[in-house]
Amino acid sequence: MSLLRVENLRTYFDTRAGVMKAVDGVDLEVREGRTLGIVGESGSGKSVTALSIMRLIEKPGRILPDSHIFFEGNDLAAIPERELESLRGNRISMVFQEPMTSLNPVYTVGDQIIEAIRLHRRVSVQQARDRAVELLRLVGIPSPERRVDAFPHQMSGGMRQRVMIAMALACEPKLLIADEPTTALDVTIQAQILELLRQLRDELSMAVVLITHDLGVVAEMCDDVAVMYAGQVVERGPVESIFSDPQHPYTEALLRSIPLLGMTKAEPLTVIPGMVPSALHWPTGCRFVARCKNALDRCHREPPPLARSGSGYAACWLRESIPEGSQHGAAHR
Amino acid sequence: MLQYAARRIALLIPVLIGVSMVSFTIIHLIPGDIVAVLAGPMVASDSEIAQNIRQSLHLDQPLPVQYGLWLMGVLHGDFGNSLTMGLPVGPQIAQHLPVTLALTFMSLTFAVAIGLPSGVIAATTSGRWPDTVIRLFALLGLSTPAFFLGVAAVLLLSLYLPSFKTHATVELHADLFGGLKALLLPAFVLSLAAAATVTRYTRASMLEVLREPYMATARAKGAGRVRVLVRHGLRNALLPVVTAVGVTAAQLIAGAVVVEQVFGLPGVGQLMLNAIYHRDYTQVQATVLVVTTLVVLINIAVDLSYYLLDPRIQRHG
Repeated sequence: MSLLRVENLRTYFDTRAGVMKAVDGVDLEVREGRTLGIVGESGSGKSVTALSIMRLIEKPGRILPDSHIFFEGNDLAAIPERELESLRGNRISMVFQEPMTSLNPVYTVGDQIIEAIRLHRRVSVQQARDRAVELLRLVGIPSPERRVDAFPHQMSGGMRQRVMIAMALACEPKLLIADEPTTALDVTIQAQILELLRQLRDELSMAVVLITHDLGVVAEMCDDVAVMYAGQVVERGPVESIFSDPQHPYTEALLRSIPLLGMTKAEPLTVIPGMVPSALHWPTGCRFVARCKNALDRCHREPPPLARSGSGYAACWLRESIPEGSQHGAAHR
Repeated sequence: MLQYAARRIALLIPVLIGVSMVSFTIIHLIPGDIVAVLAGPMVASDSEIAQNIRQSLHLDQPLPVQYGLWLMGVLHGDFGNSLTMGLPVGPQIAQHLPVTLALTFMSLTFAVAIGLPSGVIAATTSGRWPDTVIRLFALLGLSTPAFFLGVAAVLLLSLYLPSFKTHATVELHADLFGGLKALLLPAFVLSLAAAATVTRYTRASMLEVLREPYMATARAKGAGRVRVLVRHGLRNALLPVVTAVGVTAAQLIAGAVVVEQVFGLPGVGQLMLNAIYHRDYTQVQATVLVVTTLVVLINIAVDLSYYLLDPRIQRHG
C-alpha cells in the first residue's frame, strides 16, 4: 500500500535569468513502513523534491498547480497552509543535511524538542520534557537527563544530528524525510547515524525517504529507489532489481562509477562524460541524451515517458516495450 | 556575569576622570570668561573687582591646580556651587535629570516599538513594495534632523491643531502623568532617527537570519509563519540590533539637548547649554559627568544583555 504518492510534481523558481525548472514532472511512491532512496547528482532536484513534499518551498519558488502529493488521503499540494502545519512534524517529519546549523543556537535542545511536541500534542511542559529526555535516550545520546538542557553549540555534529532525529520523531510520524542526513558528518559517524535510522524505522514502523548521492547507502538502507536526473525520475523500482538489472543508461553509468573493494588500477572507474544540462534550458528530448552512448534519433526529439520496464519503471526509448507516442503506457506493440 | 558587571562598572572611574579632564580643558580653552559674566560688561577685566572674583574662584591658579581642587571636592561629594546662580550644582541636576531620563527612555521605547516591527516586515517583504516604503521612510527619518522635525511639528500643530499643547509645563515630581503626556510629542520627534536606525539594523540582521537552516527546521516542525519569524527569527536577529539600540541610546541623550531646547523642556540638556553659554564651568563639569555616566551605564547594560540573549557567550567571560 502506498503511503505517499507523488504525481507530476513540478517546482519552478522564477529567477532573473528565467524560470528554473528544478523539479519538472516527478513521479514517485513510498510504501507504508518502507524506505525509498532518492539518488542523483547535485542539482538533479532531490532536495527540492523533498522540500516540495513538505511544501517548504519559499518564494521565488512555486509548486505548479497540476502537481499532486497524495499522503494519507490528502493532496498536500492543494490543502491550505494551516492544515499543512498540523501535518508537518506530526505525520511527516524532516531531517536536514546540516546538523551544525539546523538547530536554533539560542534555545536548548530540550526546548526545541519540547516545542516540536507541544505544537501537535496537548501536554504540559513537564510531560513534554520527560518525553524529550526519552527521545534523546532513544536516539542514543548519553545521560539525556543532563543533555536535555544543553545548547546546540555544546554538542558535536553527530550529536546534533541525533537531536534533529529525536525532534523529527517527537510525534511518531508515519513518514520521515531525511535529506542527505550524513553528508556533513565524519565517515564513522555516518555509519552510526544510518544504523540509528534503520533501527528506528523498524522500531517505529515508519516509512523513510532517504535522499543521498551514495548508492552504497541505498543498497544498505532502502527497499525501493528512485534515480533522479535533471529534475525528473528516470528510473524507479525495487533496489535489488535496479542494482542487478538497471533499465536506464544513467542508472547503469551511476552503478559503474562506484569504486568497489578489490578493484585494481587496471580497471579504472568509469566517469560519466559531459555535464548535467542547466535547469533553465532543459533539452527538448531525453535530458540524458548528450551523455548517452546509445542515443537514437528519437531521443533528441521526444521526451521518453516513465513506463514499466523490468520490475520497475524507466524513462528510456531504448527499452523496446514503449511504443512511439505513448504516455505513461505499459501498452505493448 | 556579576563579576563582569563589577569589572565594567569599575572601569567607569578612569573613563569619568578622562572625560572630566577633556571637558575641563575645553571649557577653559574657548574664549569668554565667567568673570565677565559675573562682573558685568562695564567692568574692565583687570580691575580690582575682577581680580577679587578671580581669586575667590581660584581662577588665578594654574589650570592643573584648578582641576585638582575641583577633583578633591568631587571626591568628597561636593560638586561645587553653580558660578552664575550660587546654588549647589547637585540638587539642580537632580531636579533636571528626571525630565531627560523620561524623554530619552520614552523615545527609546518609541524607536524600538516602531523600528523592530518595521524592520521585520521590511525583511520578510524584501524587494517588494512594503520593504521599499519602509526603507524610504527609514532613510527620510535618518536624514531629517530632530531640530527641524521638532520646529516643524510645533509650527504645524499650533497652526492646525491649536488645542494641542506643544509646550506644556513639565513637572514630573508634581504631576507625573501630565508631565509624561507633555513629553509624548518631544519623545516622538526625538525617536524618529533612532527608529530609522533600529529599522535598518533589524532588517539587515533579519535578512541574514531568514536564510539560516534552523528557520526551515522550525517550519518543518509545524510552527506557523509568525511563530517562526518571532520566536526563531527575531530572537536571533536581536543580537546586532541590541548593539544598535545601545549606540542609539547614547545618541538620544545627545539629541535630547536639542529637543529640550526646541520644546522648552527643563532637562539636563538645557542646564548644560546654559552653563556653557555662561562659562559656568562647575555646572558644565557636573552635567558632563552625569551624561557620561549615563552613556557608559547604557553600554554596560547592552553588554550584559548579550548574556541573556546569546547562550553561546554565557560559559566564558
